[in-house]
Amino acid sequence: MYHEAKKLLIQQRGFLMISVFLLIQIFVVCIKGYDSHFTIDIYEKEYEQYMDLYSGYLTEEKMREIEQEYYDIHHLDFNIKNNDEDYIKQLNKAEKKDIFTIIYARYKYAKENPSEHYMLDSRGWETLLCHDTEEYIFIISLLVLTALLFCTEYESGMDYILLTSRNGKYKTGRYKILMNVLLAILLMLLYEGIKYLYIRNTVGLPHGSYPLKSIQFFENTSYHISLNKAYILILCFRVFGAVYFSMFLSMLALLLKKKVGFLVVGSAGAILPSAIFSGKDTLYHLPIPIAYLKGSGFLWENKYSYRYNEEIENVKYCSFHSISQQELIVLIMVNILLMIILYGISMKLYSKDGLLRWIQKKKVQKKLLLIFVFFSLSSSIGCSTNRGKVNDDFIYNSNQKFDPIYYNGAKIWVMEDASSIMMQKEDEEEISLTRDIINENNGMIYSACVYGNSCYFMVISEENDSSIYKISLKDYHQELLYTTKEQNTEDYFGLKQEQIGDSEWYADVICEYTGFFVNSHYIYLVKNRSILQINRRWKTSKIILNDLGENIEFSYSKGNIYYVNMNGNICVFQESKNKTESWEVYGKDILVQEGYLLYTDLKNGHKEKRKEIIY
Amino acid sequence: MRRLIYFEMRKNFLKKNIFLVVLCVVLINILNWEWSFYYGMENETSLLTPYNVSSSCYQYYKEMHEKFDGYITIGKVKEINNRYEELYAEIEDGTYSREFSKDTATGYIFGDYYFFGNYIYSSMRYAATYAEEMGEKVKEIEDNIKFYEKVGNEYDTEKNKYLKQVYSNRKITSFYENTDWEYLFHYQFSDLLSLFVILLGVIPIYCNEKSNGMYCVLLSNREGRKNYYIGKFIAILIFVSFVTILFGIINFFMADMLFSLQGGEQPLYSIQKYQYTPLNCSLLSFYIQLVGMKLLGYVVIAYLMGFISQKAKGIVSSYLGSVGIIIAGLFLSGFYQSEFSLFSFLSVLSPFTMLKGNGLYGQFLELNFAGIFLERGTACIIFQLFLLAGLFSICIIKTCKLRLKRTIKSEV
Repeated sequence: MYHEAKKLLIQQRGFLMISVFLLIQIFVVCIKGYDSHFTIDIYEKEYEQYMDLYSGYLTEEKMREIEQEYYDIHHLDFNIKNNDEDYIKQLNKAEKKDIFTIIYARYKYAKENPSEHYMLDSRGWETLLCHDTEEYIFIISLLVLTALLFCTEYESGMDYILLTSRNGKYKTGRYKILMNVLLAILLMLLYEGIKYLYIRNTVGLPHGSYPLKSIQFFENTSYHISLNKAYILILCFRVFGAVYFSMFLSMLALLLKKKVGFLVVGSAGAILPSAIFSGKDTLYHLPIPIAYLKGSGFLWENKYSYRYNEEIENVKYCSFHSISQQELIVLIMVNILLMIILYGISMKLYSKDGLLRWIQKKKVQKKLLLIFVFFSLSSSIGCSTNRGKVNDDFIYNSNQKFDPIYYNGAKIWVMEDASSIMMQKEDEEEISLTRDIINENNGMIYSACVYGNSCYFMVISEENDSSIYKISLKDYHQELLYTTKEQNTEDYFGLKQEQIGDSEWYADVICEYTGFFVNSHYIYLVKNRSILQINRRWKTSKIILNDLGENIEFSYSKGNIYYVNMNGNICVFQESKNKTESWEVYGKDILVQEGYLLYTDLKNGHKEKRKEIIY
Repeated sequence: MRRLIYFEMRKNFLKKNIFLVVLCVVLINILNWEWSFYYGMENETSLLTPYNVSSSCYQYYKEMHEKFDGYITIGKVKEINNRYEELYAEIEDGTYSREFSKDTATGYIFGDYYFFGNYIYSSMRYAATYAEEMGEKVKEIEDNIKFYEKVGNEYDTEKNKYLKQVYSNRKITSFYENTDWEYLFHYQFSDLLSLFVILLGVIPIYCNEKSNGMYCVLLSNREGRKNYYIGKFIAILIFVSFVTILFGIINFFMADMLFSLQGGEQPLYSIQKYQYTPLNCSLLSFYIQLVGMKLLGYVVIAYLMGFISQKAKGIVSSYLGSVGIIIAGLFLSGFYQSEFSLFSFLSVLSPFTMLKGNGLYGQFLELNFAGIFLERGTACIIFQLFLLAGLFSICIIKTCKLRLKRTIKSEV
């Protein structure tokens, strides 16, 4: 055993390979991140505060508090003129409206069955429990290590020498298989450990003792267990899958003997089932290791989709049948039996010394393989930086976003049906600027602005994606500047699948793009109450403001964004310094005009005032 | 040379294990077609099979197609239109019977309206009005050409001229069920299987010879030295062509067997999803083009794998390098529909984009290459041909180097 380990890990550079694969796993886990959403990310503090207050069993007191908060947030009175404190309190409540919508949706779910649906920040748990993507890095690393462990000796002719000695013939085979199993367990634990540690140190895994049904994804699951136990169960499935997979690979390596055949057939064996049965429960009913490497699907409930029935009614049908506990026990028993058979076949292939002597006969072996195939089939039932100050004369006022724009004497406006942008020069006929006849029905044109010699406009698609286009006002060439739509559509032959967790689902419902403007370096996109700063060249984005007021009022001039925040204060964000400064002025209807900021003062009898812009 | 190619083929590809794997993947592919037909189309709304709708609906659908399939006549259009209006009048006020009725084709009044409207009326309307709609588009394009010429925008002028050229005089003269063709074009499972076979055949092609010393033996022989790289190059080409064409034929026959493909002579744009395709070819010739594109893509992929195999020290590193190429190539090809010039250019670089011919030609996609207008599918084919020529040139250069070394040695 020691010699095998030394040969594989040191002489054949197994350690080095494992280290490289671990680094790749760390990189992939960090890139993938965790389940969350824009709204939760920008109001993370508020989200965590709410969760600290309400997490756990939903008591009568908590219910009252949540209902009261809901009432307060939805019945704000901004007409309080005399008492500033009350006014600020109201504004503070308004600030939390978006995030409270998510909290309230969770509350509604928890209220359905308070004994099993607890309130909690489930982002970390969703990441661990709601995805059934395979560990492809694990598969590749184990394939490579198994190839080195078994095939090298066949290719170099060492197997003849080994099989002539007693230990080489009867012990080496067993130790090689054992070594492979131990390696598989170790690798699986290491990969899962990396994922676990990353999530624990980022969003955390709080309240592991809460019931699994606290996550809406598992609403109808038949497992009445805690989140911790659910994770341990999935980990056990994956370790079982790793052992099973290593046994399968050992058998395959001993059967094929050559590295190339083994690597390709092994990859196909690991990938094809997922590609064929992508998103289907059939995969979990098959006696194959891949199902266990995925693991989490065993805990899933029925998943439903919609289709038309004979009466042409849009009816719900089950697209993923959950695996019952009885079924699972039978499947595991079948798979343990198959693992024993795999071990027997492996030993037979290595040294003709199997656990079952009767399989030594070739005829019986063929029959056994046939039975194995039949059994397998039949059991299937069961980074952006800030640049210098912008010194152009471009001004953008959100309060004027639907007004026509004037450019060198020409009038530019968005058509009422939001289908195109028109331009009319003096004494000339109006012309359409949007002339892409192929993609003309891709969405609604929401707003437009002119910066430099180009007209920019935002299109919102039916899928709620926002795209910003630029039309040169010299040659009228149109090009896409930025889009929230995913550009890479590769699904790796159906192997890449996404499951949407609760957090993403709740937050997607309230996602809304309400405006944009541009300068020479950045695109600024208004999403809910935040402004995203997007680098025009590299398309990297970051949130620069997340406290726009109820009416989403802002103005832009010379690299500064003037806006009314959630407290009603007028603030200014300076792009060059990347900082926000609050003016002690409560105002609305802000407008930048000729070097001044015009606004209505809310404190002093709603008078119109103006303040010189000194930045 | 011919003998060397034959030996290369025999040594690397005409082997029992390769035949066994090819046989297995062919069987898996056939089973997958069957499985998709019987169980895998639950979410498929456009392609009807006897297994994703009720038997009465399917029978009704087939009857309607039997009746109206063929050359589009005014009589057929009028009959479909009248029938649709009759059905619509019956359900318009919402007081129609929800009970099972023997007088209806699907068993329900709304069922008849829904199936007739969605699967017959809308398809016929698309086919009958296509020429008119495209005529209007061409007028808009002509207007665009004048406009962009006036403002001196060369790129958009070229683009619109190209669009005018491909969209002019388009019409659909016949009506057939063509969602089955669409499914055939979209089918990509066999691409994954082909990739496995090619991987198995190509990754040991050089490094096996290095590990067993055959490399030295071959290079010590005059014929072997002269044609070593070219021999392998042609052997790979033959092997990849065999695999790609084999799957192309199997897929076609499976689709024909399961769906009874009809109307192969119809233009590609008779499929509604291909309304704006830049191709004016027939459905059958588009399928042949798709197989041809896949062939080109696989040949480039195989040569890249062969290149890695040549540089790699052993099978494991050759395998890891090839897997790396597959992952990176697939990732880049994922941008093939991107509207950004940079991303679309990156997708053109990847040979895996050639496997996505249905998407490349499903709509009009452009490529802005330094201000020059190019149609993306054509640009991709041209680039991959250049890449292939580049890889072939490397082979020639390597062969020439070997010859030169020998000449120098003999002179010394």
